Amino acid sequence: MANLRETKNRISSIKNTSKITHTMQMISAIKSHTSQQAVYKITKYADKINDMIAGMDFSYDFDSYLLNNRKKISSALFIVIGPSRGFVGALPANITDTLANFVSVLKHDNKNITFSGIGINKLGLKTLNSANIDSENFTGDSLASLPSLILEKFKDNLCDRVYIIYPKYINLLNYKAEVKQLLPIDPSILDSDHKKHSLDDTYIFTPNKDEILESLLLQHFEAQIMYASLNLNASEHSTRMVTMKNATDKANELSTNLTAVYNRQRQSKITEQVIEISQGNNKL
Amino acid sequence: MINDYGTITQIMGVVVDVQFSSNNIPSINHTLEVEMGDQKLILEVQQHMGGNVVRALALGSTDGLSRGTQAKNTKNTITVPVGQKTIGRVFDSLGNVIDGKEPIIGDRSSVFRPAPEMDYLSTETEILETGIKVIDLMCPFIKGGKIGVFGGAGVGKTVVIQELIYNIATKHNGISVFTGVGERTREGTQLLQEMTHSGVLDKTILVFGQMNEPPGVRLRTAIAGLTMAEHFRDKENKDVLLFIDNIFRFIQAGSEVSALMGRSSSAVGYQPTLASELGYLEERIASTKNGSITSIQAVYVPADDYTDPAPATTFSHLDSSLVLDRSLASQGIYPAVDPLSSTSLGLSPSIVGEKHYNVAKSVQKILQRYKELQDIISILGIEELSDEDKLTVSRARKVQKFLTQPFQVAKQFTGKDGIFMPVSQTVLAFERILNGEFDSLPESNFYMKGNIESVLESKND
Repeated sequence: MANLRETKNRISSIKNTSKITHTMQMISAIKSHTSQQAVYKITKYADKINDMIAGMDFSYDFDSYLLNNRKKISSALFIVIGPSRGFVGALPANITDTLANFVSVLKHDNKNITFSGIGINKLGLKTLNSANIDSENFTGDSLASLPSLILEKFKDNLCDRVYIIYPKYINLLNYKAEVKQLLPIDPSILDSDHKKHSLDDTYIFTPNKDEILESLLLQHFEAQIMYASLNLNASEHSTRMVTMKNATDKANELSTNLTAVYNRQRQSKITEQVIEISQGNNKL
Repeated sequence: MINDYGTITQIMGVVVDVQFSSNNIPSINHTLEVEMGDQKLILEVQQHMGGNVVRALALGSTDGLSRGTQAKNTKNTITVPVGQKTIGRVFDSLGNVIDGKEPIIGDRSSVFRPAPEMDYLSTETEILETGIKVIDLMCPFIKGGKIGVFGGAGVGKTVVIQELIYNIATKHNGISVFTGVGERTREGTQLLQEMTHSGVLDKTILVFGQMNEPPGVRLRTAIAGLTMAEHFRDKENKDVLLFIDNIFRFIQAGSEVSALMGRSSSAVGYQPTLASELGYLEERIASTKNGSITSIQAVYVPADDYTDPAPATTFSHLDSSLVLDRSLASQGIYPAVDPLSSTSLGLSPSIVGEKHYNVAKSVQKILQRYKELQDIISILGIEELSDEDKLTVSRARKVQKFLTQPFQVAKQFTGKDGIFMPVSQTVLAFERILNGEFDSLPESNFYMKGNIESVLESKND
């Protein structure tokens, strides 16, 4: 019976798939643990800088292009950090949706706004492409060269706003795609309970205020990128772990069902043959 | 003459042995008559046993029959009435009228006839439009061809056959013959009523040998109807439509008879003579240079197993095979025609035209791809597919939904009137779906629709 062989082939192919998904699940479980630790660490660091900046009163005559809050937004740059590999369930779709929503809000608020984008990883670029944003793929070896690339664009007035889109890691089962404004740094929208202090009351600056503040802002900017990237890592691995677990479960269920079908087919074939043999025997 | 009579010597169910005198042994396939009260029981001679005994098959109930009863040799086979008088009437397998009207006196013809000679056969290749999208597109019927509707229990064979009767027979100018073989009597009654209502009865002949009949009767129903159809083809040079529901019951009856006759059974318990019995019937259903018989036959597939000898043997006789699939029926795809397993000789560029052929092949391709992706979708989820595959899946699902169609005969279930779709519109609509013109519409809009305009209208709902 051709059917029997077909079923058998399908079972074995599904079993192989489940082996792969199971392995991926195990690997992701390990990776998600380490990347989770990294998120905790960077969160502490980023929060500290956040607090510092949020707590400062920049209203004195300090002037940096990083703080330059341009009133009119005519162009925006999106940095989309996508997962490094596939098999992450709805993660890319969530990022895409968040980006699309945000883009439509921006479009609504600012007329004639233009967009550009930098995609990190293939899936990041794909997200931008699906939102019809003219964008380039980030080709640097590591994320270390990304901040300078963005700063240059910002300095040259190629973009008035820089946003980063990334999945914020919440726990093993949850993440939330988020959009964050990277540049210009706006202390007023930073998340912090710290009250504003006059700079001179809280800190003593050596050698001078301007230099320290400038580098602090840069640190903050870089920390934000790092924060987003580590969050992505953790979200990616944990999501992959969950997705692959589901896939393994489904594959196992499918193969169990098919095995039942196979056994039934096989048994009916045997029964049929036994009947025929015994019937033939009766006739003799 | 007293010599025409034989004596019943043994009765086993419907198998009756009759002893004759040595100079008056009835021939094979000739009938014997037994008086049973005010009724006549017909026996058909099947075997000569030796010792002047013939083994005959009762074409009726043997209740009350006893040994020693006299059986008369009629020296003739089963005959059925043929000709104009038969139109609009209902018969049983023995050619008796069963619609309660006056009996038919006139020409009769033996149900045993040879198949048409080889050089009389015609090889016409004109398409028969059915108005059913999935059939016209994927499995076009050929005029004068033999079409099988395969399906397991309850997937909608009879509904498809009845819709075809509704769509084709009402528009058809010639005669239609419907033979109900071993199916529900209720369905036959219903069909008769509907035909009376719609006025098709005036050009239709109905022959019934349903489930309640003994196997010998069910074995002869198909050829009885066929004999009537043949008369119109050969003598009156007409185009005849022949509907048979269900060929499997014919085979099943043959199997019962075979077992009762004591022949040892062959594969899966079927009669060893399965192929020749079916071949005899199927080869007679043919189109000649004079007239044509377009036959549409329902074939029950036991336990959904297409490798079963009965459907497997039937397959080889047909020009077009319409395969109904249970998994489609369970998804609510009606008619549950499987576009991937259904085949037709008609689906070739030289018959249906280049465009139709290409669209049908593309539909097959996209559905095939969808089928391949189904395991991936069920394991990994649709998110993991590439954008291209996602589009394929969404179009394939739309194609699948658009292959459904409300049936007039199923109006009581769907609440929708049946729709007749011209082939040209069908081909065009599917071409547009495949080209992605309707990618933005939700797939539910395509379900149970007739033409593409009604799909677009439902967008505004």
